[in-house]
Amino acid sequence: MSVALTSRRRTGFAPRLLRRVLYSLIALWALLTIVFVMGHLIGDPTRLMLDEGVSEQTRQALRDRLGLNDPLWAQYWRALTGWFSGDMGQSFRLGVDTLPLALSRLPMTLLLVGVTVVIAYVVGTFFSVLSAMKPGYWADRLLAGFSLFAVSVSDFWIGLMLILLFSAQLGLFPSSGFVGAISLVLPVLTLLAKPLGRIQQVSRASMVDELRKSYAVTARSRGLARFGVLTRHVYRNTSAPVLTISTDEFTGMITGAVMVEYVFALPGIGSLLIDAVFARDLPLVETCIVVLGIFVIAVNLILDIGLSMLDPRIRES
Amino acid sequence: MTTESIPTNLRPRRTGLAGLVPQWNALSTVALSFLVLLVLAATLADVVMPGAGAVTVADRQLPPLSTSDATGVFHLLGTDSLGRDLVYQLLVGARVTLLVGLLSIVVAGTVGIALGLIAGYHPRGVGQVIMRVVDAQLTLPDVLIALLVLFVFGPSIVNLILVVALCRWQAYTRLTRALVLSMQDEAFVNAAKILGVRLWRILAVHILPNLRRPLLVLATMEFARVMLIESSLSFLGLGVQPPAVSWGLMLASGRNYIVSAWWLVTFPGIAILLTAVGFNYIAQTVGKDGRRTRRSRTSRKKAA
Repeated sequence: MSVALTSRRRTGFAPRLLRRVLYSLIALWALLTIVFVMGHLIGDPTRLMLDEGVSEQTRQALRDRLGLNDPLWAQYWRALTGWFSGDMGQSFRLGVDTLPLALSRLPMTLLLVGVTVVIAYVVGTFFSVLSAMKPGYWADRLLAGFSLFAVSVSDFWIGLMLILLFSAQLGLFPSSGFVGAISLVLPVLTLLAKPLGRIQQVSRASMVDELRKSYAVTARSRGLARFGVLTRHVYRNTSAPVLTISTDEFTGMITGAVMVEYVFALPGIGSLLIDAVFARDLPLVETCIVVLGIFVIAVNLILDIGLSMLDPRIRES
Repeated sequence: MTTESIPTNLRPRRTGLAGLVPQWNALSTVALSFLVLLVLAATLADVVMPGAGAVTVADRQLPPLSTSDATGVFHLLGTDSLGRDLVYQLLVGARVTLLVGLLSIVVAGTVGIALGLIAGYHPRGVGQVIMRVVDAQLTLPDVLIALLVLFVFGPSIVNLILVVALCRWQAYTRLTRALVLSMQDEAFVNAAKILGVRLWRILAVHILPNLRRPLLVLATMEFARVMLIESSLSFLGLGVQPPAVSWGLMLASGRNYIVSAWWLVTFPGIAILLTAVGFNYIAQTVGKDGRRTRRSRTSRKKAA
């Protein structure tokens, strides 16, 4: 009896953790395979790299040099082992190894996304407490309207508008490049809209739901002000739903960061990716997507594990 | 029982859309009218504004609310770098933007709902496999993969529609599966099973019609999302290609004139924003009722 109980208890955390890690590895493998298939199986990669008019000889020489005349499975194996040992090939245009180049650009992207996430979470929670204080009142309606616009806007367009206003007209902030913290102000404001709006919506909805539960009603009836109930009791129970949507939002934020870096010419991995697309530099495009993909998979895994440690109810489902 | 049968707040019976959707309000009417007008105007642009798409070098980059010296035509939102009227260009761009959005939703919805029905009806085996693929896609940066696909295959409208659909099919699969699972033990499903109705018929005739409303709400919300993905990809030059026009592409070309002609980069973005807000607001209004009518009634009482 007791044996059965302990074994049942054990199916809680560790196997779930293992399963999650396994899923992440599968996602990683899927990512690498998609990138390989896109780059190698379909058509001729040299078509993307060379101009239309080059001779067949040049094309064949390049195919030999890239190992494209080897059997496919050999290429696949070489690509996978190469990627796992950190060799992702050379940039076609720049002639340097792609992985160190992509990694050297990563900190800028991390900084941009990190600062934005923190601000979005703090401001979003503050706004949703304001909303949940009195649902249906003018403050709630105003903030609901704000969040509706925030999730409906194209983020890169906000960037263009901010450049128009603050760089082109007023000259307050630099419109491109990175010269210090001041260069991050407009990009962060641009990237902020979507996660802020989403966090606000989800957090407000779950706060209003929680406020109806008996523990919140009890706290209210014992004389604790609505604000106190929200910040001391309800807030803790709403962090789980907010974290759950952050997984989904985070993937979208990486795409947003790519656009924002491109618009503001910030030296992050996103602008490197777009430049590589314009330069038709396939190895560099692949490397950037793999690095960003691994980053997204890793953050999702960490969020997921953190979530199940935070909220035991999720572990069981 | 008695409190249940006596309504606490008597309101006049509402007819039409308002009767169908309890949370319908004046703002939803505004949003719906805007979208209907947009579709009408985009379809009839050539009838209402004949010749507005002509290239007139003399009228290059006229600011909004100006009248052309050469032709005497009034331009409400100004003209672009080739002297074409911006209102007309926006309406032509609306055609492509809305069509790409609609078609990618149809593709993603058909595939996603079909897979969701299967996954819901066979929670083990096939269903497990489908849901693992959904999980994997959720952790991958799908728009970046879409970018890679367009980079390799070359940008075209068909590729764009397929790639956007590829990014979003799993939203329908997740919702459909959850709804089918929740309906598995309903009396009418069991009755159909006992009567020996075939599986595909149970799914298509008995279960699917009950999913109409939540799926419609999802599709409306997805329209805004899909439109934003399209505009991003077109802005990067990987979506709609010139000479075709879409709002995302107009932003990309307007970016070059950001200092000299602010209206070229401002109005396409406002068009995207207003359309997306319209779709999201309607989805919010329709989605709110049904599940939350009782709840919202109590909160209204508190607020009053």
